Amino acid sequence: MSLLRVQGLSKRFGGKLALDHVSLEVRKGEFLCLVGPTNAGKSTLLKTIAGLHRPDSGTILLQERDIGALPPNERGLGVVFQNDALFPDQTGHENIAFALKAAGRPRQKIDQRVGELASTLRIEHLLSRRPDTFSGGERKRVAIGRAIAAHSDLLLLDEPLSGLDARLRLELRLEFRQLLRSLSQGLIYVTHDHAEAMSLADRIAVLHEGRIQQIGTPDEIYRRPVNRFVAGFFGSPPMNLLTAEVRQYADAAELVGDGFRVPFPNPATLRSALPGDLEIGIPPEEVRLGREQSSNTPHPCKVAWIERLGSRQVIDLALGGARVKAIVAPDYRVQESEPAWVGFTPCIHHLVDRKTGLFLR
Amino acid sequence: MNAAPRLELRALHKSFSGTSAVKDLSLTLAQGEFVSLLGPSGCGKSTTLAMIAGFEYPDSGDLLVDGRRVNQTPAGKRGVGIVFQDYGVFTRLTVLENLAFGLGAQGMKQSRQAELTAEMAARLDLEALLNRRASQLNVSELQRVALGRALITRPSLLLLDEPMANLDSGLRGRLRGELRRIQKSLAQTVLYVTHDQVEAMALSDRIAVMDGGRLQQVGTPEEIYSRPRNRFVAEFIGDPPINLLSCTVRSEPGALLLSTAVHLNIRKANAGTVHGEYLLGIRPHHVKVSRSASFGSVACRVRYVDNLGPEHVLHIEYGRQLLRALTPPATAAPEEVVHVRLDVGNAILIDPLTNDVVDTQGHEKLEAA
Repeated sequence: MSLLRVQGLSKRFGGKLALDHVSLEVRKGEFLCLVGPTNAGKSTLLKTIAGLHRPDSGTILLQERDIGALPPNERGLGVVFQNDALFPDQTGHENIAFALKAAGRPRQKIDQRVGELASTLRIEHLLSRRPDTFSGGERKRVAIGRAIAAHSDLLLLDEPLSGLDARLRLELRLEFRQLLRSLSQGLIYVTHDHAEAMSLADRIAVLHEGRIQQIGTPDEIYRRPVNRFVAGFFGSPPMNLLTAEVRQYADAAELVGDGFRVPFPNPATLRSALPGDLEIGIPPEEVRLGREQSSNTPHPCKVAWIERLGSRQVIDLALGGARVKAIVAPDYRVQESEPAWVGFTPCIHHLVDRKTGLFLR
Repeated sequence: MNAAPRLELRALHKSFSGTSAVKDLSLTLAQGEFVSLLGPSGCGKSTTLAMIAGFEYPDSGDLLVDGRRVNQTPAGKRGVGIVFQDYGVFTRLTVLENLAFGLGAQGMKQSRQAELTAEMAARLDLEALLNRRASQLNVSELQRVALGRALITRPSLLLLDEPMANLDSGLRGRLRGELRRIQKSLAQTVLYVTHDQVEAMALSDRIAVMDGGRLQQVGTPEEIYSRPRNRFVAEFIGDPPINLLSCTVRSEPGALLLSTAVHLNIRKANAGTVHGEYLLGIRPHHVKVSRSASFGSVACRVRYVDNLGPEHVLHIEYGRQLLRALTPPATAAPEEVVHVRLDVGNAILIDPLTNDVVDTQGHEKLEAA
């Protein structure tokens, strides 16, 4: 069942189209991550849903009710913005209780709700302290408490982990995936961090240049990207894209590029309408690397650069005039500038039309 | 040639209104080395950088650049270049003007300036952009201009202050390859300040880990990752983080017997004697998970699964703790019961009282039975 439904939302600032016919749905109980690079339109979309921007066109339905004309505080949304200013002269308790007091709730009810939230968010120790004594992570959790104190149907979070140390981000990410789900009926979580989105979301909506590029589960987004942008945004490092052309013979076909030639995957599906210029997508974890030439590693290359990351190594290989990144186990022995052999098996779902940037379907 | 280290810090100390920000810090950078100063907010790394750059003076200790004591030398006269967060490129100036900026400030002749600028532009692949305003550059170009502007004066030491902190994660991955390539090609000595352990691991010859104003460990990325000296370093490095499991240790000749909440009497080859309660530190990729039982495996339930794309992190119910295992995709689903084995040959033991890693035979690789 649909909790939030956004249809055909467009928003223009001056001459610039910030949102271009955005449609998406948050289902009941769903954790939706909205990801994209800086200036993709993520915050604009969130603020438009929250009622801080008026859209030029489109509708916003919460529980099938049109909330597009309602003021922000009557929309039934909890919102945590990127720069979550807490009231500096109020305690943790007072910050969280703010909306409840404003709504005229009785004291006892307020204390009960604040207590519940503090225990869920593990911030009981902050209730009588002021924000200047909080750490970055504590501040975020109090801000979330304040945003959701008045029961909200949908929680909107704009980069709640931005500005925090990498380490703290990682810890809170692990904490958030359980915590946030228990706090509302559904949520939209904005981030530019693909790893955060992959690990937190039930579904991911990828936004770029004001347009939704793809919506799907983390697996769908990672394994079946629809276009070059999505493929390049996910994974660290992301999928390799190698230029190639198709050569068709009587009973076979192959893909030929700079420094490699490989059999066409599943020639039975070969269509005559195949574009001449292709890119082959090869996820770095599917690149095979060897010290000797073999049927598994037929193409000569050179090790350009190695990132040793502890649990894995990312090897940057020069193959012909192109670069290919491979992920290998931490104990694989390899040196910079030594020759190596590389192999890969293209997958039929990872062929890109070079002109349009779209993956072939 | 000057054989002195490019940078030498000897027992540096700095406090602000009675609070020590940096304590007894000693560190040496050799010519051409790329060293990262890594730690969380408030660990003292920015204060250290400020002292090296000359924005702060140390209370005690010595600060040497090329063997010359520069404790009180003004910032511009230390032979130290610096690139700040967000690069600090002058957006209203052209690429050419940005590159030449430091040379002009030195009062160098125009003709010589032009020569050096052209040389640096060629090296950094900026030739086609020389007359473009910096405001029109993309981030990769901006990084190169910022580096070029600092490098053109040939500093003995280049300080980089979290230059990529505010960039999207995908972009950071691409830019660090470029940064390392430029650093290598010039054999430029670099001190790189960051809170991001992945960046430090990927870029550095050596990493200096700081916490609470103190240096915790200095070593190659491999040493820091595999042989941390204490609990802080073990936990700070690694994504997903290391597992720390309560563990009882008994010694027998040539080996230790480890018992956790779930696994009993795992054998770990060792000649030292260690007894009592410890924390067993084991990296998620050394937790072996299978759908079928094997020698030494114990059945445990998967609570939830983190999808990282090429890898999944299983969070496994392990006594009263959650054990993280890094596995290929589709190893197990939530709620599934899996068979878990610990590759203790690669594990460390931490004394829970001192938080130090117990030196079991110089950390040599220990074998699981």
